Amino acid sequence: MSKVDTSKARPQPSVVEEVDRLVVVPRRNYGIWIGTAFTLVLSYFILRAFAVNPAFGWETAAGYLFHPSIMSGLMTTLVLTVVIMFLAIIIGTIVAVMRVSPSPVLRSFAGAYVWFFRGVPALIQLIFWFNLALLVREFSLTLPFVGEIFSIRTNDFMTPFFSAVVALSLCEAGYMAEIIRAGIKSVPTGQSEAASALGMPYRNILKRIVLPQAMRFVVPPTGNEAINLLKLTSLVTFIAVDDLFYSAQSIYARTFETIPLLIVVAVWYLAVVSIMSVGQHFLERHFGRSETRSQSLTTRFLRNAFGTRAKGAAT
Amino acid sequence: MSNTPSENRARFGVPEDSMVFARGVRKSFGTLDVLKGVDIDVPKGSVACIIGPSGSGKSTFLRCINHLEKLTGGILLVDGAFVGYDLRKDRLYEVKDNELCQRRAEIGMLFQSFNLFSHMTVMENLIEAPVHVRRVPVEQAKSEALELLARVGLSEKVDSYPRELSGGQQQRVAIARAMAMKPKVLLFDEPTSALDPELVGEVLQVMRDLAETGMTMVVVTHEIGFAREIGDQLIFMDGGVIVEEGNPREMIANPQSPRTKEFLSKVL
Amino acid sequence: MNQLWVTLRPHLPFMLDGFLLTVFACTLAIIGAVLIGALMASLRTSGNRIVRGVAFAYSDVFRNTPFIVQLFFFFYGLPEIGIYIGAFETGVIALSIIGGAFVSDVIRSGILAVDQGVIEAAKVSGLSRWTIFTKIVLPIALRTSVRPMGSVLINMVLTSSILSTITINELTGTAKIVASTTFKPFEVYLVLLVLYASLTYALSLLINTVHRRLNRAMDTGGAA
Repeated sequence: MSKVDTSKARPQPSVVEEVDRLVVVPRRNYGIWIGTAFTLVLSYFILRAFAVNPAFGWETAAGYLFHPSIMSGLMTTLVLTVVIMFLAIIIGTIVAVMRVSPSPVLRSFAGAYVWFFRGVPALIQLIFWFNLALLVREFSLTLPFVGEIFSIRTNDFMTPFFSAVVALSLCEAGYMAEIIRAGIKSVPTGQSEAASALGMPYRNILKRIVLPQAMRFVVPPTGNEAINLLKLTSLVTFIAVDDLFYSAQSIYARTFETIPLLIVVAVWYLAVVSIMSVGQHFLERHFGRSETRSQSLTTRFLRNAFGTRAKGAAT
Repeated sequence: MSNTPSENRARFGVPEDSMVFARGVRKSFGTLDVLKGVDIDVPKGSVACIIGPSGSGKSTFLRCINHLEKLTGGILLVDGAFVGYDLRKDRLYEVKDNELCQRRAEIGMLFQSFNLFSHMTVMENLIEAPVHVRRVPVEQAKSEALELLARVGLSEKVDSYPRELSGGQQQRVAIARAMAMKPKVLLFDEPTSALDPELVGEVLQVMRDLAETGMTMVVVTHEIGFAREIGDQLIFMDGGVIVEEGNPREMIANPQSPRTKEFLSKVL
Repeated sequence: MNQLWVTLRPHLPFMLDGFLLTVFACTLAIIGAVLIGALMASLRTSGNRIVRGVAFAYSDVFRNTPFIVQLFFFFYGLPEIGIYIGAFETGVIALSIIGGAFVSDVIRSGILAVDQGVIEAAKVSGLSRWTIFTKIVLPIALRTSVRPMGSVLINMVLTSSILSTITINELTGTAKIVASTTFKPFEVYLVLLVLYASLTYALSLLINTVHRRLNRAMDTGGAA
C-alpha cells in the first residue's frame, strides 16, 4: 500500500485507538414501540371480538370444515375453475389473435368482445345465460332441402352448471384476451419482420414465432387471473350451482349456523388461493418476471424459505 | 452533553480550521469492505476533489459524511462535531431523527441524478426544506430562492417543473436547492456524470463560482480538468483506501503511485 | 326498438333509482377505498414489522376471499357482534374494505417505486421522516398510482352489482326485478349494459382527467 505522505498532518495512531474505545449506543425509537403496542392491542381486541363471541362458533366451523357436502362443493368450485380457465384461454387466444389481425373487421369484433364481456358485471352475465331459456326456447339446425336434422330445447342442456361454464368462460376470455394481446404486443416487431423476411406465412409467424415468445409475458398474469376466477366462481351460487358457497348456504339455511359456515367457506378459499399462490410463485420464478399482485404473506414466506429475494438496494 | 467542537478538537486532535475530519473511516456492507480506513482533512473554505475508479468507495465516503451511511469504524467530524451521534464520555449515542435532520441541514449534497422533487415546481423545490426544517417564513424563503436562482442563472424557470428542464438546468436548480439551506459544506457526488457533454460546462461554472465565494466543497468527480483548476487538494481512492493525495496540479503532472499513474492515463 | 320502449318505459324510473343508488354506493365506496388503501399502503411500507404484518394480513384476507363471502359475513356477522347497520351501509363498508385492499396494493407499489435518490435528496435537506413521507413519497406515489388504480375502481363498480344479493335494490337488483316481471330479460340486460358501460366509461374519463391534472409535472413513468 503506497501511501504518499503530504504536508498534511498524518493521523496519530492514538486518534484511531481513542475512537475505537467509543461504544455506539443505538437510538431508541419510541415511536416504533408505541406503534407496535397500539397495533398489538388493536389486533387483540379485533381477534377477541371474533374469537370469544359465541356467534362465531369456531368449534362449529371446525366441525363443518370437512363436511361431505362442503367437500363436494369445494370439488365443484375447483372443477369449475379449471374448466372455465381452460376454455377462457382458448377463446381468449382466438380473440387476442383477432385483435392483432390485419383485418379491421376482426379487430373491431374482438375489441367489442373485450369491451362487452369485461364491461358487464359477471353476476349479470351469469343470470343472463341462466335465463337463456326465456329468450330462446330451442336450438335447432335446419338445412335447406333436408329439413330439420337437429333440435334441442334450451332447458334441456342449459343446466345451471353448463350456463355457469358458458357465462364465466366468455367473461373470463375477455380478460385473458387482454393479457394475451399485451403478451403479443411485447414481442419485438423485429421478430415477426425477420420471420416474414424468411418467407414464413402469417399463420406460422403467429404460431411458431410470436405466441411462444408471448408466453413469457402471459403466464404470470394468467396465474393472477386463475386466482381471480376462483373467487369469481362463488357467484354461481346465485344460479343454484352447488359450489362451495352454495353448499355452505344450504347447510346454514337449515341449521342457522350462518357465521361458522361462512368462516368455513373463507378458510377454504384462503387455503386454495394460498396453494395457487405457491404455484404462481414458481411460475413467476420460472418466467423470471414478477407481477404486481405477488407480495402476499404467502409469497413473502416463500421468498424467505427459498432464499430468492426481491430486488433491493444491496449496495 | 458533549459533542462540542472544542472538546472534540482537544480529544481527537482536530485542526482548528477543519470542516471535514476523517480518521480510520471503515464501512462494510455485510462481508464487503468498501472503506478500509480513510483519513481525510478538508479545511474550511477549501475544495477537495476525490477521484478513483468505480467501486473505489469514493461515493460511499461522501455518503458517510452526512450519515446517509453509518460508519463501521473510525471517526468522521463535520466542523468538529459528530453528525449522527452525541458523545458522552466514551459512549456515542445515536441522535434522534429530528436532531439528525437539523444537523444534516447544515451539509448540502448534490447527486449524479439531480433528484429534484419531480412533483414540485422549481420554487417549491427550493423552499421546501427552508420552510419545513428551518421554519423560515414562506415569503422570506421565496425571496431568498429568487436570489439563488439568479445566481445559477435560472430566474426565468421559477415556475417550471423539473422535467421541463435540461439535465444541466436541473443540476443547477439542485445546487440552488442545497444552497437555500445555507450549508457549511457542499458534497458533490459525480454531479456531471449524468449530463450530456455540452451541458457539463454550465454546471462546472456554477461550482466554480461557489468555490470562489469560499464555500467548502467535497467533490467526487471524473472531471480531472475541473479538479486541477479549482481543487485545493486531490485525493485518489482505490479499493477503499486513499492511494495518493496532494496538490492537484502537482499530482496530475507528476503522480507518484503507479496506480494513480495508470488511472490518470486512462481518464485524461 | 319501439317495442322495447313500450315494454320498458313504465319500469325505467325504477331502474333509474337503482342506477342512482349504484352511483351513490360506488362514490362512497371509492372514497372509502382510496382512504383505506392509502393508509394501509403506508402501514405496509412501515419500518415496523408488526404494523406491516397486520396490514399485510388485512390485504391478504380481503384480496383472497370472494367478495360475496365477505359481504355475507358482514351482513350476518355485524349484528352478531352488536353492530346494527342497514344493508346499504353494510354494502358500502364491505365494498370499501375490499376495494381498500386492492388499492393499497397499487399505492404500495407506487411507494416502492419512488426513486431512492429523491428520498435521499430529501433526507440530506434535513427533512424529517414524516415530512419526507407525507410531502414527497406519498404525493409522488399517489400520482403514479392513479392509472393502475383506475382498473381497480372500475372493478369495484362491477363488483357493486353483488350488493343486490343482500336486498339492496341498486341497478342490478332493480334489473332483476324488472326482468322477472316483464319476462323480457334480454331487453332489460341491454339497458343494464348501457348503464354500466356509461358508468365505467365516465369513471375512466374521470381517472384520465385526474391523472393528467396530477401528472402534468411528472414524466409518465415516474422518476427514471
